[in-house]
Amino acid sequence: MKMAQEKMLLEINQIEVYYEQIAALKGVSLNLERGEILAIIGANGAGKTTLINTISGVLHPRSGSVEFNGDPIHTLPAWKIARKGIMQIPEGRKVFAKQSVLENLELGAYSIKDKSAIKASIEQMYTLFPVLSERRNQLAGTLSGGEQQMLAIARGLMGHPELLLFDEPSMGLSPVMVERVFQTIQEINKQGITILLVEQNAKKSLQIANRAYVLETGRIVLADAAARLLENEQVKQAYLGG
Amino acid sequence: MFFQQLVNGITLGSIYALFALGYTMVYGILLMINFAHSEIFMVGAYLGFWALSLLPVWVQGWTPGYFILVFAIAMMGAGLLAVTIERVAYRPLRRASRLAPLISAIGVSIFLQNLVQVTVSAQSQPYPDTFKISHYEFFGVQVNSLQIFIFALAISAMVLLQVFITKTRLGKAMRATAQNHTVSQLMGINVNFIITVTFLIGGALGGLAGVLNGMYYGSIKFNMGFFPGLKAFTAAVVGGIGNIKGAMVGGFLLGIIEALTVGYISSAYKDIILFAVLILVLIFRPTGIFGEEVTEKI
Repeated sequence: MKMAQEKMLLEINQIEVYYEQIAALKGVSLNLERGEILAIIGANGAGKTTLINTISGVLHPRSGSVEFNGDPIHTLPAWKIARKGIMQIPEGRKVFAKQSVLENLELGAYSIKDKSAIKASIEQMYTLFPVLSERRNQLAGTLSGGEQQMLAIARGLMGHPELLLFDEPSMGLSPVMVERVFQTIQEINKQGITILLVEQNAKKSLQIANRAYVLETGRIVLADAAARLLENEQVKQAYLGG
Repeated sequence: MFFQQLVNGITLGSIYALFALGYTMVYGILLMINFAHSEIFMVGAYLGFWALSLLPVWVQGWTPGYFILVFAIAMMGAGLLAVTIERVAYRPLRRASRLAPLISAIGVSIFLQNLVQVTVSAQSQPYPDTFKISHYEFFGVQVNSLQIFIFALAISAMVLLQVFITKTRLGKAMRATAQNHTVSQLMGINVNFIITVTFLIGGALGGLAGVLNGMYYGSIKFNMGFFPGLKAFTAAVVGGIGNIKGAMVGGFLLGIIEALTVGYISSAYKDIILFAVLILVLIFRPTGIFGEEVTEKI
């Protein structure tokens, strides 16, 4: 039993999340294994962003629990959850537009106290995303959409996360950039970071994920290995364009 | 005459600029106009007044340590008052409509004015002499040591603030929070703590402005914050509310406009001209000198 628990990085148990009186998640449970890429697919309004914001502590469930490394985190404020090692790459990138690329990276490392570790991470990000190095002193708001997405990912990595949450990372990007973003997610995962990926681009996310859940109007309706969901008739019809 | 009024205007502007920073910093973080800031200025002036009058004789006199102590008391006290006001009167209303904290701020302002009126004095009180003022003349322009002192102190405070917000970890987090609370939290930034620090610094600068105002005009009163407060707020709007450089520039600009109006037109017209400037800025450049499009916060 103990062994099984340690294998799970995140366990979500029957959470219900409301906006005022409207239920956005109606009893969602899911497990995230250490080291995997888990995809959540679903249409607009299915509750994908609500789920990711509940894990991050931006929203709090009315009932149910979220456990990270065995500790309940669903009552903690968002900033404490970030410091526990869960970073989010928010929908729409949300870089700090009026601050430089370098400052954005430093802000990602806000919870890291060791200055030399921050320096080393910045160099690492510059190697991973050379364009950020070129533009380190430029305001983040002046970057292109794709560059901002790279910066948002790098900013998330700067917090040394155990779990990285991606909310619609391909949204609004050119096909080339979409390709690049999915490649980057795989590379990050290979370095041992567990990934939860929420996407409307179901095909791409199922191609890189180990497992996936299908979310429909606040409920999980399917859960399986990603490869099998790619072959699932229901999924094909609803999310993969027939 | 022009240069003489310019010197007077810069002195006045130093005070407005320090005062305006508190309005602009709070607006930048919370999109809220802290109308109680004028009373933080007033209480700061009183704290300086008490420190100047009550400090034992052996620390008095023209020594740097004495001034540091006086200003430390006034600034710490004003900063802590601002933090307390946020905790008690604004934080519980964080999720209410934007009008609610505004009304609460006006309430706090009236409360503090009346409290000082009733418990301290309803009359104006002479500010203690601080140091012997020497007068200098450069090319026919009179400058006194108090003016130089006020300007030097204000500039030092502004440089320190600028270094703080651009170079330190906390300052960078403060600018991030001003852009987006939610995303800042996702970075591990405790936004409530940042808000507290913002009120602490804004309040301390307001307290400093209050003491300097008391020293410059030589008297203080329970309602002394009202008009300078409106002017400092105008300075913040003229500079572009939410923008720190804007508050500094706006403060000096307003001080200079006021002094030139007094010199060339009449002191009776100074407030008419100043608030006409506010109206013109609001009509023709509502974002102020350094203002950008206000980003909607959700």
